[in-house]
Amino acid sequence: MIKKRKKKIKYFYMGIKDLVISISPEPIFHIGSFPITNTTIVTLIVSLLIMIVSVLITKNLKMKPKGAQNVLEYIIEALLSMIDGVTKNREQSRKFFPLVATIFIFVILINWIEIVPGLGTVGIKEMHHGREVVVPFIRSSAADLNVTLAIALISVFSVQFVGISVLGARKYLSKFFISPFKKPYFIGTFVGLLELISEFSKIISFSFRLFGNIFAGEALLMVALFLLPYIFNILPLPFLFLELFVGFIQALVFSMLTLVFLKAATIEHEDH
Amino acid sequence: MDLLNKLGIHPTLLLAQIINFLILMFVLYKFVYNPVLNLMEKREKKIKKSLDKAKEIDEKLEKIKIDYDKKMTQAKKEALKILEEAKNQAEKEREASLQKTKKEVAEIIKKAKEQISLEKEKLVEEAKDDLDKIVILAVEKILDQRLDKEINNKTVQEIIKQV
Repeated sequence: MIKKRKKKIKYFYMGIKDLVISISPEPIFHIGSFPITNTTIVTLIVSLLIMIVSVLITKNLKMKPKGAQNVLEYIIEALLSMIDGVTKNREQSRKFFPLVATIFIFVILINWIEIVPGLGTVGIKEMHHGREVVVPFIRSSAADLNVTLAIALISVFSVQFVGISVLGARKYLSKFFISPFKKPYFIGTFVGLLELISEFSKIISFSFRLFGNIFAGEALLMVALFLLPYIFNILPLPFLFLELFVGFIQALVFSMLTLVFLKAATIEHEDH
Repeated sequence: MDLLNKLGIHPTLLLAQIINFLILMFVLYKFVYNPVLNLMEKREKKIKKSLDKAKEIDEKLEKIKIDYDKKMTQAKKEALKILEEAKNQAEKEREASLQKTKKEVAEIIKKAKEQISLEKEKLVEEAKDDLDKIVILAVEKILDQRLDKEINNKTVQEIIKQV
């Protein structure tokens, strides 16, 4: 009996040859035709965690802060002063704050998911091109173009919306469509067109910058883990610190760029 | 489309992520950013107000202190003055009473002297009277004769006068 059972259990040791790095997130299961990928699950968990923790902290805010409220206020104050530094206008800062702060907090947390233990190693077995591979449960959400593209789209659309609502549609569009009969003539028109294209390229640069950094970080961590797994367990440590740093920088870059674009959209184009 | 597929971009997933982010942003805005920022603003205003108030109170205190010091020195001066006056008054009164006592004492002495001299005179008178009688008796006895009383008296009187 015992012998039979032992035979049934298949031990699955992972080695470097089992390492599969795929650009697209791996679906864990499907609901109808809707694939639930590992990044979807991670995104949902992170979002819910942010919401629950922050709502719990702010449930009874006090004039004299205590404990967790101090931490929250510190974060918010730091973000606000950062935004103030760009806008130089408290009222405008309050308007930009929700988008910029949410991007920062969300992106930094989904970036840091990649250093959670079990990344890429805990998952379900699946046949993939005739090979048995692990589909990990945890995959950093930022290593999924859907997520980064979603945030980039929201960011760029917000920039357009803010530009139009502050300057008015005509003035805002006159940044991009410049009459060729005015002073700098065709150069102006051409510059305007370039500006228009750059608005679209922002979407791509935003999404691929974040995706590339975090995806590469994940691949790096996995390779570091598989290279010398047992004796030199210390090897991934510097990479973990590096990834902490990269995650912070990418979140900062994403939110700061959004902020700068928002601010730029509210400034009128100077007539030459 | 094939490129998007290879990159793992799935329209429904993208939409789900957009909605997720918007919900997250809305919830954070409603429950975190707005209340916390409002609270921080309120606190800032309150702190500024209390600082201003503290400054005002300090100024007031300073003023009161100066006022107090001024009044205190004045009161001290007045007290010294009053003390001085009282001393002078006391001195004067003492002098006056001393004078009065001296006068009284002198008067009493004078009265006593008068009394004594009066008493002395009286004593002398009495002694004279007694002496008269004694002398008469003595003379009568010496003479041992009974003269006319009137003559007798007359002679005695003359004798005494002579004496």
